[in-house]
Amino acid sequence: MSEKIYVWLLKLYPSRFRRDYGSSAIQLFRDRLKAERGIFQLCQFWFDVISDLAISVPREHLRRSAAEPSMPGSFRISEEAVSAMTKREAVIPAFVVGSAVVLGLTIAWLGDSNHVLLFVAYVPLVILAMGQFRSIGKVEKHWHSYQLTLGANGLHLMQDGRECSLLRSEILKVHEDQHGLSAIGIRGYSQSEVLSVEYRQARDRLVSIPMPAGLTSYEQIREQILQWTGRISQRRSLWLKELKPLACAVSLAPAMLLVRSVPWLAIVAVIYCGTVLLAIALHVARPPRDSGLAQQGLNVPPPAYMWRRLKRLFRYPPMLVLFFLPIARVVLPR
Amino acid sequence: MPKRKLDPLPSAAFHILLALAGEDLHGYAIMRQVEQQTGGRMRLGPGTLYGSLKTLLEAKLIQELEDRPDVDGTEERRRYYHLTSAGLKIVRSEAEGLADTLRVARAKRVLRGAHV
Repeated sequence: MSEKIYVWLLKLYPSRFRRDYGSSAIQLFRDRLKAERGIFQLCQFWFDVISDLAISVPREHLRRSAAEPSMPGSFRISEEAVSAMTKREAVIPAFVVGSAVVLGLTIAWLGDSNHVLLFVAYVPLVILAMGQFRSIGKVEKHWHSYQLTLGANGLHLMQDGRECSLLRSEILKVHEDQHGLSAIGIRGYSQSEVLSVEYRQARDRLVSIPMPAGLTSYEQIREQILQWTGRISQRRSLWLKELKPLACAVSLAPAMLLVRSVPWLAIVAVIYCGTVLLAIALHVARPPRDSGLAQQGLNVPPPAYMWRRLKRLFRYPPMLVLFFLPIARVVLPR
Repeated sequence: MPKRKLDPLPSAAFHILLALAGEDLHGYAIMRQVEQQTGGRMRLGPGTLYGSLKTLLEAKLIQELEDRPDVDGTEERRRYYHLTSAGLKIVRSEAEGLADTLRVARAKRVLRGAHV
């Protein structure tokens, strides 16, 4: 049991530390546990373990790793940048959704509604919040595995065991925001050939290579890309990578209101569902801009991207909760 | 960069280097040796021990042995560490610094009893 608890506590360490020393740390814990006899020694042992965790976990998260052996011209991301990216892509969304779920459950408990049914309606969100927390380690690992190679003729990215390349002639557009650069291009087609590409072909061959600001030699990479393309478009991105978790959390506000506002129940529900539908319609109908294809004059047929977006939207569980939770609340018996 | 991390040498790192000065040891044996040489005042937990070992490996003050001693036929999974010549130099200079401090403390009659 003690060992299981320690294995669980080891998850607090960064994935790199767990990978390198996880099994050795468990072995050491096991050896020490075997050596400790009696309640007093056991209590002292656990006190040592907890103090050790309190000191070493933050230190391992803040550790700057020594430069790993890599090919000339290849770059990795610093530990600080990995932490920043993980925070933006996983920690903040997990915190937002987690807080919304806790708040929603508290209000549901204090409200005068049918607790059991309302709690059942919140279950998907609890699962979603747990999923968000679990994704933190994956995102961290994802950025740890990042390795960009800057060659004379283009960019080569290795991440999560997958590789993709973009030749300098294939780069259509380069964006830069406060988080770094992003080079977009269509594999196999140069800038001059892009107008002749069919949408489906372009979609299948579209490559986007992110270059986070925490990359070693970021300035050198930026300079090189600027030489290749002649222009880097500037923009400002939101502090959250995607707004879906935030939208999902905000959507709970009317659902919480519905717990008590009996006379206005129908009106609030109609306004809420109408707003959600309008937001979905605007999102689906918006022409694609991120890909850079539209700016290049590529003819993008509306039904293709609209259907794709709609399908993707309704495959996303929070979206279903966002839409159906208030409706469920309306039909739930009091 | 790792050199900067070890300047000044943290107490845990010093005691680990000192423990390895005698023989090549695995993690648990290092922990026991450190406990013994500090009179039980320093009990290294797994996080502190392996964090320090990682820093020392990055600084090339110790190295992990490829050919691991198999003492009783059950230790093939343990990782043994060996003090490098750079590590020995560092631990010697640190110990000499401590010896100088001890001399000053003696001269000023700060110490009592067996230490004097």
